[in-house]
Amino acid sequence: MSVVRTLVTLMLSFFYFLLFRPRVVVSCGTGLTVPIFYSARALGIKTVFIESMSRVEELSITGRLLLGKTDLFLVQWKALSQCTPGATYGGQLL
Amino acid sequence: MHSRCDVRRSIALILLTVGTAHFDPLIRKVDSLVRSGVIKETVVAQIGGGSYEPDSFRYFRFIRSMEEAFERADVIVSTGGAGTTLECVTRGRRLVVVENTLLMEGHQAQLIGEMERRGHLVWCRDLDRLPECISKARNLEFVPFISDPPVAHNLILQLLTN
Repeated sequence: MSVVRTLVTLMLSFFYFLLFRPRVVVSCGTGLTVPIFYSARALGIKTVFIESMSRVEELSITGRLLLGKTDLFLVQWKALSQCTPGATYGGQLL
Repeated sequence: MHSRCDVRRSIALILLTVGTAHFDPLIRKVDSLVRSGVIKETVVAQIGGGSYEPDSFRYFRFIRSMEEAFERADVIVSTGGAGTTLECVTRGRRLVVVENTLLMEGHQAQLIGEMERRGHLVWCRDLDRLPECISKARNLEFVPFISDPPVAHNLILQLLTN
């Protein structure tokens, strides 16, 4: 089921990115962000991942999958950015 | 016809909220505590998609905004969802959190723990001790959590101009 959803998301996002050509894609998750970011990267579109504020000490699964594979990887807790190479502190979005 | 303030002063109001999920164990527990007279305050519950319907206090499933309910409650008992937690701690509400253990991703503990360490909420780890946690929260002074200003938008703009 989730394999099908991932593939459909991959194809749909690729199609929409081709159509609209955004300069950047910003996402806060969930797991379906992964195929969307793959489409974006394949088309040379910049990607920004913003980790949820509920992640204080550890990244989400999506975060772990995407760390190092985005143009900008933001977390919302300073301490988490300090112990996560590749993550930048982006302040808190409330 | 009482005004809102009169109602609020006469009997303390405890608001249970499960957010967009459901958490029957909490509703069931409080139902039995009210029935047995351990909890004497007025209780109102937002039970979301839960299948257990309490019969010793009023409840509703969903509402467009919880803000007014939060404002009128003396103590809010929530299940630790990020939305409710952040909405309450930024306003300095008296918040007791019972973690919703039914949810698949058990990541709520990170945020609840951090807010507990900073003194913005009472984390009730054992449902049997809920009455104690509620009275603890009633006697505590809750300082609003002040978040750091966001810089994410500037970082994204920088990325685009590079």
